[in-house]
Amino acid sequence: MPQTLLQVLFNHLGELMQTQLSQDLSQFLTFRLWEEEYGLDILRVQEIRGYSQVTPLPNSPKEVLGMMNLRGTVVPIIDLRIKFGMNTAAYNRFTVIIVVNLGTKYVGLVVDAVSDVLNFALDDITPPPELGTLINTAAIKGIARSGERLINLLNLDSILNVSVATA
Amino acid sequence: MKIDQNKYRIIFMQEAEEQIISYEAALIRIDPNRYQSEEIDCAYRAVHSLKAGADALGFPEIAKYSHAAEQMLDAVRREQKINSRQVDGLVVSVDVLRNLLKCDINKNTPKINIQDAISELVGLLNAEHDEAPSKIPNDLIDLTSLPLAPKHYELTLKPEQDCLKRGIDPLAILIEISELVKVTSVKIDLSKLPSLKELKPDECYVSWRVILETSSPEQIEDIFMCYQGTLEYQLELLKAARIEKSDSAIKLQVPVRKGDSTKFSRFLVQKGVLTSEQALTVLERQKSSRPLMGLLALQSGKLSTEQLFTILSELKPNERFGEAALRFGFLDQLEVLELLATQQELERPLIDCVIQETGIDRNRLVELVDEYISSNDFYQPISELEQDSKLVDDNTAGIQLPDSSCLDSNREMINDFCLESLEHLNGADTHLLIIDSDPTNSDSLNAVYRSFHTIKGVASMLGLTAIQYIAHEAESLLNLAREGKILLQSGSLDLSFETTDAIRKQIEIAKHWLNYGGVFGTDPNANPLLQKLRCEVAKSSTNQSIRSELIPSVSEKIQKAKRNDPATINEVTPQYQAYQYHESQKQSNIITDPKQIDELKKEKRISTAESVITESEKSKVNTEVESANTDKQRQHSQSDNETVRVSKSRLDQLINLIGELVISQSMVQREVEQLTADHGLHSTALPELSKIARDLQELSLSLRMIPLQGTFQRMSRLVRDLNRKIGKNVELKLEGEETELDKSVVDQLADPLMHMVRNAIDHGLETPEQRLAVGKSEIGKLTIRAYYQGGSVHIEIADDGRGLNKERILAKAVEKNLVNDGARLTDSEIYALIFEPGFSTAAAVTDVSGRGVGMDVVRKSVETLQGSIHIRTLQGQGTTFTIRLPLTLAILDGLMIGIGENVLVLPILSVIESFRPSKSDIHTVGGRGEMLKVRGEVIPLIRLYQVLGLPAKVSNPCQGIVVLVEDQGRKYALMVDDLLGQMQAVMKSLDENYQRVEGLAGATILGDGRVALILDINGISRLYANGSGMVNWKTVDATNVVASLI
Repeated sequence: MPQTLLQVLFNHLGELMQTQLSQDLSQFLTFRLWEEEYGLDILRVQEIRGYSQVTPLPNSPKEVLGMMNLRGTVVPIIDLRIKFGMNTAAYNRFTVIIVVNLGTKYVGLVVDAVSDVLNFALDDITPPPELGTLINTAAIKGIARSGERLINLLNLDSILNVSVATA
Repeated sequence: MKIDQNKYRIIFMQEAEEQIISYEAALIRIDPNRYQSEEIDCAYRAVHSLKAGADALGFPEIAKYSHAAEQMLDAVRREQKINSRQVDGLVVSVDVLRNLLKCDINKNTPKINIQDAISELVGLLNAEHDEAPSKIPNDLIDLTSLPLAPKHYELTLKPEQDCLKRGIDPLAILIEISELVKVTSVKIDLSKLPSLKELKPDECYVSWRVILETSSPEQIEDIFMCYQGTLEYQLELLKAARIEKSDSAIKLQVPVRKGDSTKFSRFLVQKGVLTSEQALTVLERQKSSRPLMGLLALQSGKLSTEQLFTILSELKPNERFGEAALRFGFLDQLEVLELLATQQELERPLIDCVIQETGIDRNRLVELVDEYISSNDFYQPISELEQDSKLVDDNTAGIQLPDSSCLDSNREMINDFCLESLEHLNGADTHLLIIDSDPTNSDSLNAVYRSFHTIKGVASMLGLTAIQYIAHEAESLLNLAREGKILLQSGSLDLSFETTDAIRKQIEIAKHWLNYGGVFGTDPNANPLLQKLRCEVAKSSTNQSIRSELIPSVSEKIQKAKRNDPATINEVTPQYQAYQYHESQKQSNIITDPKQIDELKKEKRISTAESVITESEKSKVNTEVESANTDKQRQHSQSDNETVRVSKSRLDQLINLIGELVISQSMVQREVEQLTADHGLHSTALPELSKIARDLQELSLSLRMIPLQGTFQRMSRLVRDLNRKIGKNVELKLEGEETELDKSVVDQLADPLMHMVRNAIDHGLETPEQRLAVGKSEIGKLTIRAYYQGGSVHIEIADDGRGLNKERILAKAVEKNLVNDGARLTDSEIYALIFEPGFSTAAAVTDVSGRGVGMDVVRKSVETLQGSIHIRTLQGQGTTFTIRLPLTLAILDGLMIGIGENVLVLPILSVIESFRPSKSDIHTVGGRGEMLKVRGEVIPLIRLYQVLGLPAKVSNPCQGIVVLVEDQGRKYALMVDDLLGQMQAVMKSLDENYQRVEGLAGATILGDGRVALILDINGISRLYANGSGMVNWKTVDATNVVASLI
């Protein structure tokens, strides 16, 4: 068999294996909140943008900072630090808002900084342990391990609901 | 002027769905143990609107049923209590309504027995409320007291080809059915069965037609519940005639009808039952009972009188009628076969003749027939089925089902045709209304004629036979009117209106077919209408009296014969022959009279427009039709502005994009200004851009504007119908129809307007006698006027009736505990009481109005449109309702106010004035709540920053500014930091990405790109009432005082 043909075969095999592999993997965008690292399904991320002026919304849960203009649509902005009961950080030009897509709705999440895009296999993810009444783990889908780092994976579907429910 | 019944039906469907949803929601909120008037009112409103709409648009089942539900709720309201059984029953009624609506959408006959359902509801009442039955109108009781006889249904079961693979066994279903109900006959349709080569053993190719007898078709429905979506089935009530066929006794007729009567009689002679002479008499007798084919064709609408005349006059010796019809191309082979089948169906069964002639025992004959059948092998299930299907077609006789392959190739054109003909129909309706008042208006007559002609031409080109036939007959009618031979008055005018409705319905079917595919059905009402039209045309088409006398009477008698008595046909036939003779006489007349030849030619040309004579003529006709079309189009483009149809979603997208463009343009402008401020430079291009952007926005907003014409026209139709219904003579005057409003506003306006017109006619205007008695003209005047004032549109509904009776309203309000006895109310406050739910001074509840729901609906709808409503009335001289509406819902005229760093927007429509109060104007009550004295009125002062929880710069009302606003007749003083100016706010809803927030109507984007919240005064007042406004520093102080005292 000629060398070139063999090469082609290997290439194909390699591609095949890669696609096989990626099926078990999902990509997560990770970000920092205080000293913790969180991740969310990258397919749900609409865009990442800087902080601009947010109009406060009266009589709303405190983590809902208000509404922001996202190119003509009015989008609620939720501060994840407040949501998870951490100390608030100052909002400045470097504050990052991740706009995510919750079904038909768009919501902006305020985070400290965006860090990485990581692949996690399903095996890497463990369900969140019961933490008793200390913290509501409904907002966490699971905890992923990446080397030494532990990353909390957000359950996006509960973001809006939970924030309202706890209001 | 436009009437588009079709559109309203669609709108009604959507509205009805919403109303059913809100009805359901309200019912679900009802707690059986506690009476909540709000929820009951809400349910009541929904069901009332549903009734009114259904009634106006001709959905009798829905109207009837919602009427029953309304009765029920009314009883509940009077009792002021409700039990769980009633709630359950009402919740069930939601499903029934939904089902009915679904049936109407799909154009199915309702699968629910509505009478049962109504009686169920009424039964609920009877069980719980002793006095309730007296309230139920008689017709309902009549309906419910009807005994429930088992009815015959035809079940068509068409399993999907792969149903076997999915584990569905149609056979098992059939067996199940046979266990539940009495199955009269089952027929298998093997037509889809492929050849053995192509046959796959695990696929189902057959379908069934089951005739069954049951009193509760729901049982069958239940069976199919679990197969929803995987099994196609249809349950239809059988008409009496067809049931007979399915009865075993009728089986006797089958061979006789199918095979040759002569053969059967020969068989009988061979058997020695009959002598040859007897057989001949029997055959003769049967033949004489056979209706003439031409007559049948005329009746069934397959031929027009002109065509029939042509055939009969040109009949060659020994040529049969069907052959001649084929020769002329007036009928195709299928139609002739159908006619033959009908004819055979109508003729007396041979057996009857035999019995009559010989007096042989029927049972003996039955045996003979069986013997005959077994000796002949023509009795094949498949051909029997074919015949059956043909007979089914006979039910829609006159309008054959269009050839779907031909339709498929014309999809695009059919779509265009639907849109175009709707426009034509609208035009026709408009002109028909003009004709209603001026029957000789030749312009309008011509216009209607042209509309029908165009519709007919295109429909025939596209193979939409039903529309073509109807339009053709309507055209003939109009032609007669145009030539002054008849006057389009009540009967024939109504018929013309019916025609436009029928064509609309047909177009709707076509649209449905375009969108969803499936069977291209025919409106069941089309045929009766067609016949009515033909009768009308025949009645008046000629000045020769014999003809006009003959046709209706002949067809009438034939119909009678069709029903039961074959003997009358004998009576008819000689008359018909006379008519035929007369026609041939006429022909010879025509030949001598050149003028009449021309006329005949003209008639012929019209009639040939849709049917084919010869190839050459066909093409000639087509070009004629086409040239007529292009002529008309040319006229159109000259007289009207050309329009382009754009889908709504694309338009909305465009408007959104332009909105964004304007916003980003102003952001750019700000940035440039900031950057260049230091250098003293300024851009010259930017102002240009800003101007263009603004023009663009203005233009884009005007795109959504449509004139009120359509809605107004709907009212004139409503007035016309109501006049008939309640026997009042009301003249409607429309002004300002060209006033334009946002499409969404116009769409939602129809409902409240309808209620107001109904109320005005039923209550506002007196009966003709009363009017004469007080010295007014007999004819009541109702004026609907629309005009612009400021940034809003005003719509006035003015009647010159009896006016509102202040004392009676007040007395009723006291009786209903809406106001306290002795309370002093201003006139406008008293008048506003009529908008309260359940408020009615009407002595009797009528079909039209009187329950006091309508005005509540009006207020609610006007409020959702961000409008307001005012009443002016003069006792004895009339009442004027004025609805004030914003131009558009998407754009809100707003007053920008500042609280702290935040900019908020108040809808300017509700702003009365703004001022800075002095300290002496402010009052407190027990330290709780502040009030403002404005020109003698005491108005609650709401500190907006407290209600909204926003930081404010100013906390002393005397340093800030107070904006006086009004909502639902109540005034509030809102305290703000600052007024920032006026703006045109593009409304963005908050629940698009978040959820509704109490106190906010939405948000908008400011020129600098920031989001500003738009306040909802009603919500703010609720927030205030719930206490957020109460907690101010004074109350805190007061509680401290109390605490220290303790």
